[in-house]
Amino acid sequence: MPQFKVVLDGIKLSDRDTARINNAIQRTVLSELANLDQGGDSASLVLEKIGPEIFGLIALPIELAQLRQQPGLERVAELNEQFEQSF
Amino acid sequence: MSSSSRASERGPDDAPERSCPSARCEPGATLLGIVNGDGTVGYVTPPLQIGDEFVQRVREGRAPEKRFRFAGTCVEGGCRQWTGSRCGVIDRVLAAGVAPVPAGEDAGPRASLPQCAIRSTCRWFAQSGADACRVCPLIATDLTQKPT
Repeated sequence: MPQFKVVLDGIKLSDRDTARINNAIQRTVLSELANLDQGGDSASLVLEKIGPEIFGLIALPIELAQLRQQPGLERVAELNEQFEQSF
Repeated sequence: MSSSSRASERGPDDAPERSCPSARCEPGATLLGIVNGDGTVGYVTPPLQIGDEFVQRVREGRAPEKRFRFAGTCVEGGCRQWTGSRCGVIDRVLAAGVAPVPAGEDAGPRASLPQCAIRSTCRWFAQSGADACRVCPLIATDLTQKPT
């Protein structure tokens, strides 16, 4: 589990400085995270479509489930087909 | 599944405001997790609230909702997934009988749950408890427009 932590032990900072540093760290972390794209959605099975305005999809990763021999995949596939046919 | 706050509509006796764990990428939302290469979601703690800068940057790549999970305010009746009393998304996922992410061998009943930053306010957790947490990593939000 990657963790990035900064501890300033014994250093007295004003609330203002603490907030400023905290904000800067969060901005930096978010900026770097924004570049991530692990492509995990390519392993997904469409389960549900949501709304004409949002066009949302809820997807379940079928490959992972198969690898772990999880039950319930047939039911998911049936649901998927039902949703597809309903649009 | 989430956008504008309805906090201003609440009275003092209303239920506490809940978080939607499958919100859109927009300023003010919380970065809840990152979609791993195997399709599961890994969670980010402590909660990081995203702003214009993040939204602008992340939209330079593929759709952010395919790559990340975001949390926002549950707008209840303002969302198509609201059934009148609860969120229909987690109910449908659980009803589909999808098996949860396996827990570790030495994990206790709660220790196996993801390290999630919004559990205390999460709509899905409030409705379905730990069962919701166990399938949550299998859910990705994709806002791809349906072909017409």
